[in-house]
Amino acid sequence: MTRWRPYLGAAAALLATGCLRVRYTVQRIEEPVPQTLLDGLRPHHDDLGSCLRAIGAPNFVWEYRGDGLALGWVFADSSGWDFTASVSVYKSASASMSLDFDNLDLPGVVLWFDEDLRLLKWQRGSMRELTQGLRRPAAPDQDD
Amino acid sequence: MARANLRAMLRSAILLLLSVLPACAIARQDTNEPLDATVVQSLRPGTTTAREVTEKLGAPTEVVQLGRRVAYRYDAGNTKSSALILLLFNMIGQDTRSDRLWVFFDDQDVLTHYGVSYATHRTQYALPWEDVHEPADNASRDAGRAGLGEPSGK
Repeated sequence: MTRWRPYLGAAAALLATGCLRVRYTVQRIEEPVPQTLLDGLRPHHDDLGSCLRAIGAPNFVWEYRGDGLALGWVFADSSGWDFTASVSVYKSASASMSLDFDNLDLPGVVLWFDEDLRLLKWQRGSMRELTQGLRRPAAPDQDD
Repeated sequence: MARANLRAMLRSAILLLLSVLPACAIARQDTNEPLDATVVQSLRPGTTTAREVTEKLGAPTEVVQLGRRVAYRYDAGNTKSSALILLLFNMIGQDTRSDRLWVFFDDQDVLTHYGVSYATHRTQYALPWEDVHEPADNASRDAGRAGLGEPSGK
């Protein structure tokens, strides 16, 4: 019986793949804006052009206080475990339960500019918090 | 006795090897064509108009009204995924980068600023333990893409 134990174990594991799954995922989205570039920005001196030259194109642009605007860069280097178990309850139907430990809020950087496109401030942090209060992009008038 | 142990170990090693061999997968997903750096370099703030930009680059992905100004976004994305699929345990690494161009126009539809970033060529197939943000990797990939090394915004 002992000599069959490894084969029985392998067979049990093979059968279990139909209903159990453990997954480790690493997800990288874009590259973080280097801190040295941010440290080189000078609020009330730098403008939109110099910031775009220094950091490149943002992921997002928002309207800010009328003619002002805000630029947002987002990046992620996150990892997460995902455990899924499913049990067949009736023919082809199955009930399943999933535990997902991923953090969905991504880190990022936002730069704010006034109506003359001069840099007001920049901030690094959670995009969910940084973008609170920024107006969603509005569609241009169709009549123009 | 020692021979029996060796045989058991060999059997386990073969089982492990067989379970890993068919377990690797890669996938790639592209969105839009990568931006053409030579076309972007032909944009001239102060003279190029919104009409000329759309003639050169086509329809933008997004248009954002910014008070009396307007901004267009052009982009392309690339995602490369690598997976190691074992019996019960899977490992997946996913790397996503994009080319982005934002062009800003005044109330006369004349280009005032633009910012561009090129990164779709830097995407890598990599399992979770591999570093995909090494400067040397990025530099070697940049060298193979035409038109890079110019200022990224104006």
